[in-house]
Amino acid sequence: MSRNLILFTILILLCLILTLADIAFGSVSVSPGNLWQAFIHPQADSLYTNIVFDFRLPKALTAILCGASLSVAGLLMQTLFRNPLAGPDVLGISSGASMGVALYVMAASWWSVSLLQSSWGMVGAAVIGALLVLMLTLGVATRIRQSVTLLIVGLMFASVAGAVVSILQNFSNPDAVKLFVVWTFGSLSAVTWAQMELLLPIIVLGLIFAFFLQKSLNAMLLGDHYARGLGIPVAAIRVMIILITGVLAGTITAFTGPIAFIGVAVPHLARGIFGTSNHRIAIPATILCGAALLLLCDVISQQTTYPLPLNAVSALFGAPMIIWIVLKQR
Amino acid sequence: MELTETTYSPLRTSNLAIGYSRGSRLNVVQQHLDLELLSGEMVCMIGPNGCGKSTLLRTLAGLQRPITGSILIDGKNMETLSAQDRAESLALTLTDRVEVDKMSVYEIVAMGRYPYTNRFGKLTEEDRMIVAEALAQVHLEAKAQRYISELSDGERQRAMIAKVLAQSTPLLFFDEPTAHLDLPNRVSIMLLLAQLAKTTGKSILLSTHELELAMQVADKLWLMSDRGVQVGTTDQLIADGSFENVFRSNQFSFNAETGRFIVNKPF
Repeated sequence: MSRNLILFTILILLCLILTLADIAFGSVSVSPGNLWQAFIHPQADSLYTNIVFDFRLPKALTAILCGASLSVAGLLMQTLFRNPLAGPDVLGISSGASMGVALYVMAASWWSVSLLQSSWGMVGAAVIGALLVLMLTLGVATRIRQSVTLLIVGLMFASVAGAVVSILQNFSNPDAVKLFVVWTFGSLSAVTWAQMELLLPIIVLGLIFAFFLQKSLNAMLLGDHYARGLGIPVAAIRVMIILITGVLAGTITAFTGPIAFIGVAVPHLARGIFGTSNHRIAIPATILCGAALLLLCDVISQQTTYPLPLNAVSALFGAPMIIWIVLKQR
Repeated sequence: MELTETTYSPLRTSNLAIGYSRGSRLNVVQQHLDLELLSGEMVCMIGPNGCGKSTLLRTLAGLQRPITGSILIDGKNMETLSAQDRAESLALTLTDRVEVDKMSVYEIVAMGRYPYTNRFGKLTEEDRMIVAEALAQVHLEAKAQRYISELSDGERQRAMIAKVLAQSTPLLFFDEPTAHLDLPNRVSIMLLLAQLAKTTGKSILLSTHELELAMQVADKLWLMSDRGVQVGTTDQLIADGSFENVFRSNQFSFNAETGRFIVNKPF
């Protein structure tokens, strides 16, 4: 247990350091002295105070929430489907969010451009799209017994949503397409404090619910039949896992756009570091590793004159990690 | 007359029919089954493929519903039991191979305590003692902290048996516990289960294709075929010709005197 305690301490420190780095780096560098000033003596008219509190802090917080929620969503899916390559998007929820945003952006560009000015418009569209797919998946999940069937159905929902997006792009004007494509790059900087008041409690609640499922999740590792043999109400637990995954992945995708690879790669990283699949350890480990990795991706993406698309950076990190995972499986 | 402990039967079926129903199509595999398990006995289900061994085991375990009839567990109808009650009454291993990465033998065996632990699966001192005892009963104490994926097939099966023991239930079911094992492991697993039935007083029901092994170690056999389930000791089933009837084939024959199967060489 003490080894785990040391590892958790290191990870928490790493998250703190990366948070400070994420706040300090950007188009305007904030020196440690200025950062200290901004926190200790915040002044409304100070440039650094504005940068830190209005832009960098919400961005860093979004990175933490996004990394944590996508990674835990991925962990839940890998456990539910007992498949190491499952991720938060296997239920088609991210694709549903994309479809919602695509519909909204294209429709808004036809009707009225002013709609696009609202920061809530895209978020609302993504939430509706994600919820729609979540409801469909839940409907299927309550009717079938085999988890594998659900995996196939989820992937098919994703394909359908992807096809709808393609058709919409085909009939849209270039500006609307560009707006949508930029959204798919993924961004942590679009979340305002007002939105944070909604995002933060939803994600924290989702993570807490996931933590309360740890015993059932461990039993699910043995398979549906063994879990039932241990008195776990598998059908109800499956619905709860899907619901939590849907809320975590759907909410964060609505605010940041789809962020690839983190959700698949981080659970493996966390289980590897702590050497256990036991969810009592794996869930907090995944939260911390996910937050740290996405903060790191964001710090790296800020190192060029024009910030790199976050999805490109996370893929550069995530894809080799997935290759390593696949090769490691005998 | 004095009631001995062995007359207690934790499981009894009455007019049970098992099989599958898909929509309106009904596929009855076995019917009119009046079976019982006594405490402290090991019963082996044997019979050709397709006779319904797995179906019966899964039905008795509550993993699938009977077509008609009832299953009484400790006198209570299975249908009325909650998932929790069921988990406290019977424990089972299945043929599904458990592929879990990065879980220690101890953690897997401790899952047997899940019906009794709190929401977070926290083990009490009593739980730890029961897990340690289960590990000792299958002689895996030395491997407790190893990952289950590092164990040999025989050790892995023993770990799954320990998990079932840790569940502290009067009924233990095993679906083909000796599948995929070599001869020494097959014998040692069967002997272990027979011995556990004696020492713990639990009822053990297992399905197997190891005819000769089952005939030697089982207290009782459920000989299943398309003509139903015949219950008896090995000697009884040999004497009344049941073995010869069920395993009639022109490729091998059953020798009632030696209790062995002889292959008829066509060359």
